[in-house]
Amino acid sequence: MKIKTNLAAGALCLAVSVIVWILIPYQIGEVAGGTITSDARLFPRMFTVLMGSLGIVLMVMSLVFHKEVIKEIQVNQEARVLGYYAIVFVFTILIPVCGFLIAAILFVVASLIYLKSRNKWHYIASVCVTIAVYLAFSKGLGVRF
Amino acid sequence: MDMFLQGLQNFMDFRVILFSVVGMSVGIVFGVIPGLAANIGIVLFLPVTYVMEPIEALLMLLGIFCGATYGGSITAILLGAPGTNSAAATVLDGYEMTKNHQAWKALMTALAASVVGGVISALLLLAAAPTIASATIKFAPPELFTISAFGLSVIAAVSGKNFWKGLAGGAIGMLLSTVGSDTMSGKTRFLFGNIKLSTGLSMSAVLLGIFAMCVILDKTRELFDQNQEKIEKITFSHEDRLSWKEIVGCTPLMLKSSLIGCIIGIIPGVGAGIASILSYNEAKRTSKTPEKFGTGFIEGVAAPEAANNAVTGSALIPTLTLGIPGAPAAATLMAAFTIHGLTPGPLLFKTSGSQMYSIMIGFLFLNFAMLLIGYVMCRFFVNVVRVPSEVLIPILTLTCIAGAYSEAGSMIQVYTLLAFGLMGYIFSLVKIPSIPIVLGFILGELSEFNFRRSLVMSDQSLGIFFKRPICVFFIVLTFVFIFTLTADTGKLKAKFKKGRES
Repeated sequence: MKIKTNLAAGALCLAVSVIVWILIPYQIGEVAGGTITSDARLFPRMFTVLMGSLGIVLMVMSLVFHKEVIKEIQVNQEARVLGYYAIVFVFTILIPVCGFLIAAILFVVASLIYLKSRNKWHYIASVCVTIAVYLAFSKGLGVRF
Repeated sequence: MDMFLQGLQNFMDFRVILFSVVGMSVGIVFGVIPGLAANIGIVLFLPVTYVMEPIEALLMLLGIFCGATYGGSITAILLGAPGTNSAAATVLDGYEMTKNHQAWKALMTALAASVVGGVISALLLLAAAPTIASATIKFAPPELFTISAFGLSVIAAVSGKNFWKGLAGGAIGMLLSTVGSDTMSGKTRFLFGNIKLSTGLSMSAVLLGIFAMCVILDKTRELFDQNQEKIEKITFSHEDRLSWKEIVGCTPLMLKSSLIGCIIGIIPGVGAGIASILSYNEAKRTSKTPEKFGTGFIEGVAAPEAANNAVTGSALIPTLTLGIPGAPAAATLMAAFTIHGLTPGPLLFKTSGSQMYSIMIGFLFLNFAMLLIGYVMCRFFVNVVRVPSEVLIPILTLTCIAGAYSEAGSMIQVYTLLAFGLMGYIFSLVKIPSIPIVLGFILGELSEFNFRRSLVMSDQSLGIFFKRPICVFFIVLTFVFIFTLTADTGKLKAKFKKGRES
């Protein structure tokens, strides 16, 4: 699958800027009788307009001037990458449920299976490193998981 | 002088020296592994440094910075694939030397050149930074704002071909910097009902997400993309040595390349990659035997390696004195300095003079230590490249998440990391570069704060930025920088590629 990156990036920036512009009045309070220096909305609006303008520039470059940078992606591959990301997400959900160490060990084992590792020493080494990382953070740095 | 002596005394502490050496070793490992770089090492170890004293923490991270810059040459020489982009030029002659059974000579040449370049830039940092800082001490908010704006123009330089996308990334970063409480009015911005965001987005979680998670996902993609070639154990011949005569013969070239690297490093946003290419081209141009370049010539390794390590110290000069990152990795170091209470900028040397001298002296020590660490550990570091990606990927992910969590003991940082990781992934698909996002995130808050303070000074008049000579200078410099430097780096890289293909 080919992505027209200028068009896609431009559309993304424009869409995000529109959403942020709509959100600003709801997320940022207004100071009554305020001046430009006390206006908390000023810079968010400026940055939003800048982002939206650049989005339009990118779209014009693509659609009008036909200056485009094409990126080719393999959908299957990207789906697998997102699959790994989903495993990471599940790991973070499990941390408060069964504790960091158990969740981490389950995560590395699941990752190795997903990444098609068949070498038992990979599993052993990864679990050992996981325990070492846990100990380094919990005992060495005093982090309370 | 008193601050220098106090700084030296603070540095001469066992823990400081130990963590410096650890950082250097870790940095070399990160440089060796293709796809990982100084940035990743710095952001991964940033959470580890929270429990350390600032000097220990920052020297450890600087050790990673220096070590990774050198470490990239190891894979460049042995495998023909640069571990970091700063070692791209080293491949040309380094890998040829390996094919000619001179791998150890190439590695030692790279090490010697890296040390020479690093020491020269460290001495420059020690001499120049306090001088520049004393000149900038009188900068007021208008000057600080125009400096931040110039720093934001660096975004154009680091974006290269993706100029408009780089600016868009910078705008996104600046927008993200507004999350939290507004310092002037006290109003909250973009909290979405989550009070834990009132202090703003966690810088380390943002950096971990944008850099580290993206690299992890890239490595995952590579794993599914191709059959990985098994890398055999690498051994060296005892006959393959670098002689003193060869070192002495290369010394003038290493000194010249170091000078090139120092100059490039001071120019914000350019980085070690350009320095190594420039110095390689210059060495070939001025050589008595240019035909030998590309065939396994020792000077073809010495020149780029001296230059890329010379960037490390000189890049810290604008970073620490003006708050403008001199190299992409310096942007992450800026974040590290800020987190440890040493905000880069004109006031840094005034408020934390002795600590800064400790760090600069430690930086000089790091480059000398690189000689010993590199010589002793080279044979072991080379085998790090054999660690399978399927083991590396989950371990790196785990370290990222533990690191993000450790900042405040809260899952909010972990979710921030995941969100920015996904954002970085989407941006990589549409080729929006990540460094501008980080630069925008760091400099956005500074620029907003100083802009509004300037308007308070001038009673809401924008004319203040055009009445002060230093402000005008930086405004002009900003426009000149955007238009000239981006064009030059594009042409330079194209010329280098053309030369390489011929």
